[in-house]
Amino acid sequence: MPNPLHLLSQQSPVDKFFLPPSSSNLARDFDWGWNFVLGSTAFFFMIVVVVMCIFIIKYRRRGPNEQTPVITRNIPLEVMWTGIPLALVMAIFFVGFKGFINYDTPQSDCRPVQVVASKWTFDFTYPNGSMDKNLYLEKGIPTLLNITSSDVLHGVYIPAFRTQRNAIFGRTTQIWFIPEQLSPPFINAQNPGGFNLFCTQYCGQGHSKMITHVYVLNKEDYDRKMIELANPFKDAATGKWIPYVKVGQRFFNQSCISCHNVTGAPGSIGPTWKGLWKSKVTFSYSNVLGYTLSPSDSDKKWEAYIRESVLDPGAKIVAGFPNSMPPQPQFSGNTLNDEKFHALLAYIKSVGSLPYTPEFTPEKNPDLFNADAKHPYHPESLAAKGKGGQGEGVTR
Amino acid sequence: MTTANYLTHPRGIRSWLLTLDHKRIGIMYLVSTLAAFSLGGLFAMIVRTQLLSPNGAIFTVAKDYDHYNQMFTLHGAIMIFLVLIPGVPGALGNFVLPLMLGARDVAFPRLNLFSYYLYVSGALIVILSIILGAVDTGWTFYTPYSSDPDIGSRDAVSLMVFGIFILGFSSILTGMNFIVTIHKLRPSPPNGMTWFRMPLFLWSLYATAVIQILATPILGITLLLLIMERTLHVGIFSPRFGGDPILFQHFFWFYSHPAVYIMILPAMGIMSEVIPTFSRKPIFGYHFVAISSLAIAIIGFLVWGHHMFPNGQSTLLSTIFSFLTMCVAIPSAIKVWNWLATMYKGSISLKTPMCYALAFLFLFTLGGLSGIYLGSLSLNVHVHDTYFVVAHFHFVMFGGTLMGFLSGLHYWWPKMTGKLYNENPARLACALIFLGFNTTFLPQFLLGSHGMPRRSATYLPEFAPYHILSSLGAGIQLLGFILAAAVLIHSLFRGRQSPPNPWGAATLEWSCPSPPPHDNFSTPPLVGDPYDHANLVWISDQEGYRRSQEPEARSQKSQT
Repeated sequence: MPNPLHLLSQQSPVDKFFLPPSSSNLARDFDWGWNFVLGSTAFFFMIVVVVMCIFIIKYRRRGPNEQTPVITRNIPLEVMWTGIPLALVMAIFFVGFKGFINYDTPQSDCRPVQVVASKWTFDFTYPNGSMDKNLYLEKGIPTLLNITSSDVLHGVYIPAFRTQRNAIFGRTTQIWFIPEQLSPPFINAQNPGGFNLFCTQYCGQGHSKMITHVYVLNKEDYDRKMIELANPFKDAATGKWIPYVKVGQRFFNQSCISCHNVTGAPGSIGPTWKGLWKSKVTFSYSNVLGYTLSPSDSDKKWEAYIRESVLDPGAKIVAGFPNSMPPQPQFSGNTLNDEKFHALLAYIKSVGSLPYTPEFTPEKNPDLFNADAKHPYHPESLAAKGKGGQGEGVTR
Repeated sequence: MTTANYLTHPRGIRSWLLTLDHKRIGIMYLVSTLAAFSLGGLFAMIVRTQLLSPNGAIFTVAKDYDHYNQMFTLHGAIMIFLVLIPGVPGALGNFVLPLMLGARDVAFPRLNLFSYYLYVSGALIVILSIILGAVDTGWTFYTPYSSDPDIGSRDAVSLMVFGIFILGFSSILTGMNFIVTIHKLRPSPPNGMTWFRMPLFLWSLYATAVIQILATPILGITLLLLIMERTLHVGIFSPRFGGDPILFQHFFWFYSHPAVYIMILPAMGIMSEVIPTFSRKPIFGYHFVAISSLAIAIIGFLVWGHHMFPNGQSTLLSTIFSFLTMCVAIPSAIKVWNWLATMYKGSISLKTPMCYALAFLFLFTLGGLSGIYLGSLSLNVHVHDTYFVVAHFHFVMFGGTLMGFLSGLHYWWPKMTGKLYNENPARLACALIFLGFNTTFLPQFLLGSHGMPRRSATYLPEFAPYHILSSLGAGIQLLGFILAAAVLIHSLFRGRQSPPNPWGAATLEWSCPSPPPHDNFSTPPLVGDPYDHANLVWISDQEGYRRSQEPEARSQKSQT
């Protein structure tokens, strides 16, 4: 997809042929080093190929007994073609070394973001404590990613910033950068904009889909985004409450969609959510002996099951599916996260299909589908009930 | 030919399976590695077919991505452990080494046969592991994905790893056999084989054997530890059991980086034979080429950490490894320059082996130079674990080792089989493979530099044009390989009888008939300069070359 912002970047046509857009302080240094190596390796390659072609043509065999001069060595020539490449690779080594020290030495005033990679998503925790599946950055602010993994090795790779690091269980690794260009804006789910962030270290089935987006925003947008993340139920731009099902749908699109679907298409890594609520489920494993779940079971039992499946996915495994889902801690631990779970639950109920009627519909539950309606989990309702709902209080 | 040669003396399947003749063992290695190559190539074609479409052309749903992951793992593991490592030393080296040396066999013929059967057993175990549930860890078996079934792969990892453990012993025994043979079985002076009269192929096999003996045990131990952790949960590599996953990478690359030199050095040795022969000129800078093989073998042991720059290795280590990596580029560069200088003022004949050798020069130079990007610390950070790496190692391993292997195969084919193949179709096959290769792997450099991660079953739509081009190239290569195989098989049945020395090469294997007799040499041959092509004259009624003077007479003449 052509990206209008690429045209604005200062890359030469040669750069654009070889490299993605250049958008960080590291990328500037990198591109210089890249061009230096490109120039010198292209030069040597041309020498080899041109000389080879000239020799093939000029000295082609003219008869089986053609006599050739006996030339077996030439020490000055050997010294020259050892010395010049050696000097050149040493220069390349120093260019790379200088860039690497810069890559490896974070500036002291970096804004820290915690990154947890797990099969097969990334979780970013921002300084205000909120969590998201996308990486939001403020243009011009040095940012430090503290990276770890919750299972196997992963990689955190941002081509536009020319940087990556592996994520290792039990260790924290770091990368830092100063984003210098705004990213292409988010338009819709099909055209999400942003820069790509890939997992580069092979991590199993979902490895190739372990991609997320990096949005570099200006200060105003970044601040608004942080408020929005801290309270996902309220639109930071308009100040309006977001419908519950919509909030749940957004969580689904950010993360769950990598393994689950709502279309019922076969072949997903995890069970489909279409008609999941009060469907017939059989388990290949359960942590409770003799545990069964049927469409006739109570709402409470179903809700408990889904909560457990989100927070401790290995506890019960649906037959025919692998035990490969990582726990989703962003849905528990405080009132806000609990509320996020209920939004997700509302979305799950809303994608129910025949023969199971969706639990929540716009007709039956207008408060859950309409903006600004007071529903049971509305932060203000919670506050009114005296449950200590933090609501807007946690924005910063 | 009425006299019995090694192919007909003695006859019978039993005489082949229990043979101690290095030439027959070489042929058995050749057949086995070519079979493994076909299997590995099949997996490669499945991989390239899948990548025709961004969401996968074969495995289209997420659950099936496991199968794609198995395909690239098997392609990598089979090509590395069953084709590239044993290919040149096991097949061509076994056949040619004693002949080139002027010996009647390798030092330990029984060990040689044992080593072949270890190879077969290892290969069968690997194939059994495919049947029992193919492995999806990637050929690098990175922990904890490979070593911790609870969070990683549940496939038959232990079995495949055990197969590779056995293959390692085959490699060690072959290496040991070659070292002892080169030390002890050279014809003794006067007119014997001195170190600096050895053809450069032998120097490179010697350097390879040193690496095989010193590095392979590390892989063996590492793989055993991996099996122990997988089955007994002994905490070595998985952090969940108190292990360190980076330790595995150090162990693994301590073997596997030298192993790429196990793969490339023998191919370089083939270049040092083919280029002088078809230029009808002595190799330029013999000592530099010979010593650079040893330099690669030694420095090659000290660069393994360049696989791990962004993997959590300390900055100091990364710096040292990058420095040494830059140094190891130099001996390879020296070889390329000397090959080029050999062609200067030569009489260059574009027979099939030379075509493959020129393809090697082109592709290996490109592949080697792309290694500079990967060896440089800051550039590596961007292209690490992307298609750039995939392109780089295919250029050096396929463009280098395999082109060298094909060059050597076509070069020694008349000697091995006694048959001449049709030159023009063979050259066309070489051109197709060369063209297909570049179409496949040049776009992958761009994929990598644009940020496409390797080992991906699916990709973003913006990468599609490169991937489609790449898959198209794979198809062209397939045609080339089918044609090359057809030409060689055709020659077995319809090929003309080869003279002892069809190319005008001066090394000793060309002084005995094609195919060679069972005992190679009835008397120790007189050893001359291995690159003294001027002494060979074309005999048109035999369609081959013959020495005009015996080496003894010639060396006396040159002294006067």
